[in-house]
Amino acid sequence: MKFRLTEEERMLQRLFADFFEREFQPPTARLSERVLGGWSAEQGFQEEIWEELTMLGIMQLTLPVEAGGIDLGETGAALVSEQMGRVAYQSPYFDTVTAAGLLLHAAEDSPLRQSLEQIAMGECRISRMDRHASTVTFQKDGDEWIAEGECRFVPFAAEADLLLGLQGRRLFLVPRAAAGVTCERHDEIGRGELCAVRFDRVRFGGEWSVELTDSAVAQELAKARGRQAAYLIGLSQGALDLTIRRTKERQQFGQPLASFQSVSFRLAALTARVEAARLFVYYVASRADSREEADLLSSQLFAMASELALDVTTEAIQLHGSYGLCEEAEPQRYYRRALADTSLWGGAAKHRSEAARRMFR
Amino acid sequence: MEFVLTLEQEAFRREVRAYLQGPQAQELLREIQKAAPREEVHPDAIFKELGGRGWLTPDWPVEYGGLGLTAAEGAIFLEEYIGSGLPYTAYVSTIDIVGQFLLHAGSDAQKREFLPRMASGELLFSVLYTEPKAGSDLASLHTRAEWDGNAYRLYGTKIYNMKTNIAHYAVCAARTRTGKTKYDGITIFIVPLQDPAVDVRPLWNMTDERFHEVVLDGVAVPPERIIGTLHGGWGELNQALTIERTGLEFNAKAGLWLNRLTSHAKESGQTKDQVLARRLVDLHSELTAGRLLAWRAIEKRSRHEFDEYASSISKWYNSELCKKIARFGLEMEGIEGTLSRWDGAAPIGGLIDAMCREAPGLTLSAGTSEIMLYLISSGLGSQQE
Repeated sequence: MKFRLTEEERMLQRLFADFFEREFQPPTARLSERVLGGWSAEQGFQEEIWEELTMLGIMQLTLPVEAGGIDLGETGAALVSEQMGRVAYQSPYFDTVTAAGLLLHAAEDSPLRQSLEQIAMGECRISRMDRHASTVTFQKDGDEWIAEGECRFVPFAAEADLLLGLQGRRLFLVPRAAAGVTCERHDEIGRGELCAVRFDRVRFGGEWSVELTDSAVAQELAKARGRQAAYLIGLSQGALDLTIRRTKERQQFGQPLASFQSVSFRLAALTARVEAARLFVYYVASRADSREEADLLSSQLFAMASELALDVTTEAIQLHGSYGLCEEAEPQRYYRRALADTSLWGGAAKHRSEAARRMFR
Repeated sequence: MEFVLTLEQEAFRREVRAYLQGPQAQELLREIQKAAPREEVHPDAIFKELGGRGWLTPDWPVEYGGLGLTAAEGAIFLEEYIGSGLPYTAYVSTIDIVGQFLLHAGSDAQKREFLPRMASGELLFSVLYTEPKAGSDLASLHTRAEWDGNAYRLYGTKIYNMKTNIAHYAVCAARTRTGKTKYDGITIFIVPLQDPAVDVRPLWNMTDERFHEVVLDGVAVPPERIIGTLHGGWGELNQALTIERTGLEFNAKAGLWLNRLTSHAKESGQTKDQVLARRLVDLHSELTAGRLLAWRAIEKRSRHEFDEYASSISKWYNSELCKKIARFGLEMEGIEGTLSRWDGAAPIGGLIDAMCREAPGLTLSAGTSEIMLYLISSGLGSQQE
């Protein structure tokens, strides 16, 4: 077994690490969030950062060359997801990549495949509506479809070009701009861009839907869990790095906090767990890249990464003292991001039960 | 990163597993299960059979009895051997700890004299480090070695060592001079255990493997039996300990325990209990992640790379996991689980009682969890990947 990154992987990692180092430090990072209670304010998503990321090729990593990508697979995606997590950067990346992965299973001549080129160029943003219990139904009406109902907690729906729904193994991409689609932001702990999306008899053409196979859907959703787990590990590492720095600098009783074993031992234990979970991320990614089954493993991984992100970010606040609660400080931002992002995906509990069902069928 | 082994390595694993599932090993396992309390069965015939095939030491050079393969094959054998349920303390002590030490720091004469008979399964070694007043703070040891003109004479008491009653030799740390710091002046000796000046007594503990107290009363050790440099043993010892510390034996033990518990849970229908099933999921996740940590340490060993951070992370994670598994076993079976294998009604052959008695020692032996956390924390903030 080999546990070191290849030179190419290292370059990819450095490229994005350097980018975020330059472009997404506080206070820019803090500005990426809304203010407390500020759900209705017209504060847009940070377009410039997203554009630069797409120019760096972020949307091309997982796409095959024929679809305009550079085919670095799930390992490449994990490397980049980790870097986004380290700075707690949020974007339409995850949902859009998942949508692209699903579209790759559509027939070659399906009109939906055209979206892939736009996705690769960063010109098409997609938000998933399949993570939460939603009341949205899709009814066929001649050659067209009608969507009706509500889906809550859809990330970046307000800025999306397309909204992705899954009904069994049928995939739907509803144009955000279609008549009858409304978005209303939630005001939640992450202060992010989660919206309730309502469909009031939204009509769209049959070309926006395709039937996939159960295994294709399962495969892509497993990869999605893997990437999100990579993000959560990055988030955990970022919180740990902040805290290690702080405990080395901050002094009390005439010594750095880190010199007290009650402090350093807790950080050491969390670090060991993060290292273990990180290897698990790349193990799952490598299985996906070799087209090996990863349904069960990715659910296990997600449960582990969720618990860890919550544990690490909670401890990060604790070890920063009351300073960790302050708006101007990073720990509370990481903590809120961990709560929001793990809950959005159903949390450790949901993935643990799914894993239990699969393991003991 | 790659997480697969070669076809040849997988074939080697299958071959080893087939033998260990075969009649000879299975017969011995039954014998061990029926052994009386405190009766520690050493798998002598199997050891020699494995040794004859070169499987105890596949990664050792051929000239010393190995197969000239890599650390990966060594790791594969260890996983399979421990996974079979056979007793392995003497194997780890002799092959992993002492064997690796001799390979790294031993003289050619020492390697020629000892390694082949260790590889063949004939020669067993114990390790004498800990003393009544020197545990984690090993450098504060009191055992002294005095030069008498011909040989060193060792005086002191060593405790908590295992398998010393059946070992032929022991590797022993003693002080040969008082240096500027306590780290200067420690020397590592190969001590003959059959000597009249060596008294080995059992220190009974709650597990199925006794400790020993070893009193050295002037046992003579010639200078050719010093491993490494005179007075310079501390650095060599630390290097050897770190490189040897992969955490793999703890992960393999965790795997053995967890797989047995899981099979039992399935057979008894307990996996229908969602709460229990979810706990099993988490433990299996940690087992998988812990195995990756251990194999990362194996990779470093194969490159002779000294990395205290990676070693201690793996040892800490995997030994703590064993404790969680033991605890879970008890929760699963409740009071019935406390029945020992000498009680005819014990579930899973008394596994849970055995695990619960063994687990607390795993976060103490081969470096306590506190020392592991200390080593990890010393490396925080300076890791690059």
